[in-house]
Amino acid sequence: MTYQVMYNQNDQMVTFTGCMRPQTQEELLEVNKTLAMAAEKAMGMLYLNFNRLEFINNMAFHEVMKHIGLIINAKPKLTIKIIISSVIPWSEKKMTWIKQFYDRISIEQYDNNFYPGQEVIENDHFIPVLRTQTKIIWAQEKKLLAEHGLKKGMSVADICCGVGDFISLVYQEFNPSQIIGIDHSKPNLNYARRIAEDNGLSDKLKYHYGDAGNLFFIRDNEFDFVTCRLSLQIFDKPELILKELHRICKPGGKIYLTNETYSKTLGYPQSEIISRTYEEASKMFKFLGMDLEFGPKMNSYLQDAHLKDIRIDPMMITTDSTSREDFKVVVESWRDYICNDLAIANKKDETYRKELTQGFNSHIRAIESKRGFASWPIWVASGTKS
Amino acid sequence: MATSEEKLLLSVSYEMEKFSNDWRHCDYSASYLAQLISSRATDPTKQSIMLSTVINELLEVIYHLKEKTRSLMIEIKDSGSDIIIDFCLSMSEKNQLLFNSFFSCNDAEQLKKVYLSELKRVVNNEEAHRFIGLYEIIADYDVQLSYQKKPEINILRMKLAA
Repeated sequence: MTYQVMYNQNDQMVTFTGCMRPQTQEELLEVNKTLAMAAEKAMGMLYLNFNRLEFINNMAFHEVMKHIGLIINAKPKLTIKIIISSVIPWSEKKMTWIKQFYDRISIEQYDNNFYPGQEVIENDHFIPVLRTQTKIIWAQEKKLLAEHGLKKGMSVADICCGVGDFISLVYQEFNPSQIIGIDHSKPNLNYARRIAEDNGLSDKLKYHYGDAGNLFFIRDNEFDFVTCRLSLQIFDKPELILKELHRICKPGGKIYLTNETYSKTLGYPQSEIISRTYEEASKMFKFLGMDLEFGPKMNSYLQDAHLKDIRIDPMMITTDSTSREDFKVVVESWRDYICNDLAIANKKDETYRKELTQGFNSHIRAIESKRGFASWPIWVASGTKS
Repeated sequence: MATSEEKLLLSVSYEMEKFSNDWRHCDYSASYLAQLISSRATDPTKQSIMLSTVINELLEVIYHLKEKTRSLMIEIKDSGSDIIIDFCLSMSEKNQLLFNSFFSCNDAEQLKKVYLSELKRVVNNEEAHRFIGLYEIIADYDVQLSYQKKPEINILRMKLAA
């Protein structure tokens, strides 16, 4: 039984980590001591965070439950919030029992709302965007992956894998010794698993439901190459995700990221309306806590994560480097998603949405026109774990 | 034994004396078996955590039986829609009576009510039923548990959706 229990006074939070399956109550002295100390020091709200506790047996659950009762009875002005994760199947079931016995207890599912834009990103309307994007990026990205250190036979983890197209392509191109994809969108994962099954690859491509900020089910130093593509930019606390990517990467292994400067997506003719459209779209993402201008910030984030051999390359998707037809399909998927789901989440009115739609249509015409030009800037970054 | 509809996936046998000399065997065995069974599951992580939780509870109950002289065999089977885990062990008459009594009620709703009342006893610092772990896995995880006595062997069967 290896567990850790820690109290952080700043957050007024007790965090439980690991596996709590004791044989005797004496093995839980640390839990009782920490909960007693937390109850003594906390004022108003005390948080009990179980989202990194993988296992708990009956004895430990009973002890925790009894101790919560002691706190509730001894501190009438204190309320307790229990934080659980949907990734851990026992947590909701067990913790709901506690609510039956005590007042002033609430339960929060942490990964229900672990980044501000979650509701807009994790629905199945986003699937066409993910599918079409990978298609036009891959030709350039497979070369860059090799330049950034991905070699045949490496173990690969793709965090925020979306619908899994990327790991499927990496599997075919680089023949990894092991490859997994992790995502927190159930529609994405269902889609990914169906595609893997259709292609006879279910045994090779493994998908796990999980959130990028809490990969407790992956051991430290497990993967040679850890990727997180077009995703750090959607989280309001990218440093927390990067910390997990760093933890699961082997020493000497690589962390590989891609992010955009979405407002710099260009087109000609009608350059101005096209630029304004992407600037507006970027602002709407920002309103939901997403930073689609994250690309140039990767250098400083990778340095803060103490990575070495940091390398950053531009990956410019243009009407010259990819099929115009495929590029058009991508912009159509952006238009449909941004002018509907995203604009509605931003509470934009009909007029605004119509103007935005016209802007995207201008971009589509620029792509279709033989004399026109369009580009989408993505930045590729990697660093080595010491 | 696996029936024609049940495909045997894995069979593990322990000497009870060795199994019972270290509490951590419950955790190690539960986690190891759960990972093996779940390796081909749609969501291996989630299923593995779930299976490890329920297998561990049953192993902890078996550990406390103190049946030190005989063997324990675990058979894991796939019936298509369900995963079936049979814990086969010989038991003293006293323990057989305990299981007979526990399984005299097979109404899941009633068992959930009993679990709630057992939890109340825990909250009130009273001694709870020694099989509270079994009530828990029925109440929390919709596991179907059954008990069968055959000559020389007792089978605790755990059935849960694949």
